[in-house]
Amino acid sequence: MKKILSIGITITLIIILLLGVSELPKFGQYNNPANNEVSHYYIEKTTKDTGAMNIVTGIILDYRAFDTFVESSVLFTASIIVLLLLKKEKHIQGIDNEVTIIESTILKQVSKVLIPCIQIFGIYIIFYGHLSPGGGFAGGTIIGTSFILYRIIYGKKFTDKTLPYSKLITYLCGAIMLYGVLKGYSFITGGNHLNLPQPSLGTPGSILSGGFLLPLNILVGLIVAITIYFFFTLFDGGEI
Amino acid sequence: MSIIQSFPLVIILVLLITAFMMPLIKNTKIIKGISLVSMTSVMILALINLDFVHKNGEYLYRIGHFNAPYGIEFRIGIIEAMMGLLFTFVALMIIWYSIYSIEKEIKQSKIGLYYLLVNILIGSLLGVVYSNDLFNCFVFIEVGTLASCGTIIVKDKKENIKATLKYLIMSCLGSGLVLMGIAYLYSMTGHLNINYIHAELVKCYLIYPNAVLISIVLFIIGLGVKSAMFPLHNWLPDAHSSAPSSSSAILSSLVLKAFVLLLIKILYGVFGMDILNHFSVLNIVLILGSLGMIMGSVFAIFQKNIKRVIAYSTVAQMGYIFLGIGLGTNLGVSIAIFHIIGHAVTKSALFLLAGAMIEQTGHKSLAQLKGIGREMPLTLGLFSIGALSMIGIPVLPGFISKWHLSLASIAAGDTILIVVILLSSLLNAVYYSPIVINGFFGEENLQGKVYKSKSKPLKELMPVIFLVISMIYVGIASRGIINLISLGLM
Amino acid sequence: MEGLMNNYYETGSIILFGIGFAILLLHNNLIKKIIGMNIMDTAVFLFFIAKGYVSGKDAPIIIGAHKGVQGYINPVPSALMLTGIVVAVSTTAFALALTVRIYEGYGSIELDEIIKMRSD
Repeated sequence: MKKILSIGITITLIIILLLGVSELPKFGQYNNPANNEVSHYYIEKTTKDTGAMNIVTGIILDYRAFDTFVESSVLFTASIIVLLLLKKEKHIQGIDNEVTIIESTILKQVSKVLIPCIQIFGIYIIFYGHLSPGGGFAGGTIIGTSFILYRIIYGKKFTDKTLPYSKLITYLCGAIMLYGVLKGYSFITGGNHLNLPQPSLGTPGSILSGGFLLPLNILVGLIVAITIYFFFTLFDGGEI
Repeated sequence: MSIIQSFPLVIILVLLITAFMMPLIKNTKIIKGISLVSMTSVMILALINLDFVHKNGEYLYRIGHFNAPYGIEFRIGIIEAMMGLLFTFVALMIIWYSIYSIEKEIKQSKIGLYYLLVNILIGSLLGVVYSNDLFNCFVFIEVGTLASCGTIIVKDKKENIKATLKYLIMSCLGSGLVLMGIAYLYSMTGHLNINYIHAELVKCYLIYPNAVLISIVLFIIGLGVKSAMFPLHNWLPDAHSSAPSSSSAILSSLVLKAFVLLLIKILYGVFGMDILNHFSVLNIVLILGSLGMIMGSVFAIFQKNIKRVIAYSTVAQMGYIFLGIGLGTNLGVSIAIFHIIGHAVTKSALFLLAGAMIEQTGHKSLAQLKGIGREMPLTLGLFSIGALSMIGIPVLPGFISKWHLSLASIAAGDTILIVVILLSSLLNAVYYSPIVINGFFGEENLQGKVYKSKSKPLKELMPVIFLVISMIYVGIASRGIINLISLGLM
Repeated sequence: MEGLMNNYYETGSIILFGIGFAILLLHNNLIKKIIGMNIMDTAVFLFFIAKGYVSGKDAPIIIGAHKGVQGYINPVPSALMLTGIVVAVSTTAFALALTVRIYEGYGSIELDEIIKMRSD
């Protein structure tokens, strides 16, 4: 009985929404209402206004930078709440009853070559975020994955000495506070039409260009990497 | 361009940045001090901003170096400035009360993270109220949902976790529907800024009649789930009654209101009266509001736990606000916003006092709280003033809302609503009066209770006294406040 | 009907949305409910991103010379959905952490068994 009611509600919902879709403008046409002067402005003027060659990075880190700031605080809040829920206090002289140490020479030796390559690739994606596809979010995820791989292969106790909880939480809070201060300076000088000094835009195409874009990409990458590492360790037993 | 115009942005940045530094500090006294100082300073900034807007009128403030529609902007009018002052004032009183009582409810190591979540929550609610860009409002809604779930989960009991899971899943459903509504609007108009969408929609709504109707309904249901509209309110009693008492106060009095304000902004700012009258969707909101008023009170009569009674009463009061929105006239919306202000100060005082009673006696059920008037006279006295406002005694803000709602419904031509309003006032009296009467009177109730044996010291009850005084002030100055709101809606 | 066939991406995303909604309602297992929620969110992202496509144009990254306004697709929906995906990941992580705690507290992740054990 409950199953038939649920399926009935779902089919009604799909039919109602499809009625709306059948009237919308055709997919993929050039003169859709969505391709109006706003998107033309973004395509034409992004390089001149922000110094970025990747138009999407220019939009999320300069025109709509407030959205990205709030989204970083969503990530921060989620990692704090998962910390609240799952973190266990450290055992005194821990009896290692759930040790998952992998005793494999092949894994350890291959990882010594592979993990630095992964990290260099992640750093490349972050630094070139305003010139080619990528940016802080994608690069940060890759670096976070390399930390997770390190923890799986080398075990809990060894990784806790290299990446302790206190250092990670300091970097996380410091990164997002610095993001807030830098972007706050930019917002307030822009909103009040003050003409205080801003970082220069540089030549488009070179890596040190775009004003605030390069530091912000690095900060966002750091935040995402630490958050992803926290999610893994907290779900894997709760001890950092 | 004066520096006061940037105060709303400064308020949000100060709240968020002081929240980000809290995990690094180990001493809980310093964390409580930082939280109090930050909330006091943003309240002073909000007061100066309200004064500025009152003298100079509303303004648009761009964030960053680019004007709308290429960048994001804030729209600060009289209503937004008043809401800013209201949220920061109520939050300051609740944080002040919680400084003394939070250690008894959650573990010592989690107190710092609790104040972090409260700051992020208030910052995100202010962002929803101030912002003039639909997608920006959506991201602030997500932060608000996560932070409010976090303030429930700090208390580590099984019932909290189950209540939070139900709240989280229903909230995510609501957010998904709101995002789908934003997608429909974007594909029809190509803008995300509220003023620009309105200008485009007025030109083209006859080309896509079904799509506009579907997007209105998606917004109403999506934001209705988050602000406890009648049939979608199932998450509220569990979540609000199992949380720590200061969290329940913030949730009931502030979080629901920010989402209702966003619904008002979308219905009247994006769509406008012409489109709403063409499709006559406001009748849905009217009917669901009236049902909520009556059924909320009916459910409250059967509850045995004092916090659940107050939580179901919140459902009934949100019904009043939806009734005001559904009437569709200027007076109706003004009364809805006035009821937001009155209910925020009243309900927070009621939750904090209920928390004080539960903490001192250790009992939660109504049967075991009889005769508490002799043991905690000041507490129950303040509770009865709040209950009188809920029932609708003249001078207090509850009566003013009901009176003007009746006037507005006569003016709109739906006289049957007066019967509904009277019926719900009676039902309110049915479940609030036993608490007060059993507390103060009745020989078998008062037997064996020692006078003032369990009352809290005066310095801990000061914030609640301030809230009750401000409630009486809102009632007395109601004419001025309603005129100010109508001015802001023009 | 013809409108549905022309906008096949949007039609597909609405059907996915309905499937996710049905999974959320029909299954008892909490992990399956979270998967259903994820499918619903992904369907909305597909709907939004499909709005940005213009047939025959390039991705909005300027390589070499600028092709002018006629050369690129609409960059705005992609930028918005970057934010949306991050928000969906955060919510899923929170919901899964709650499921882990419910399992430790109640010993089961089937919703009807948890409701029966409510009185503990």
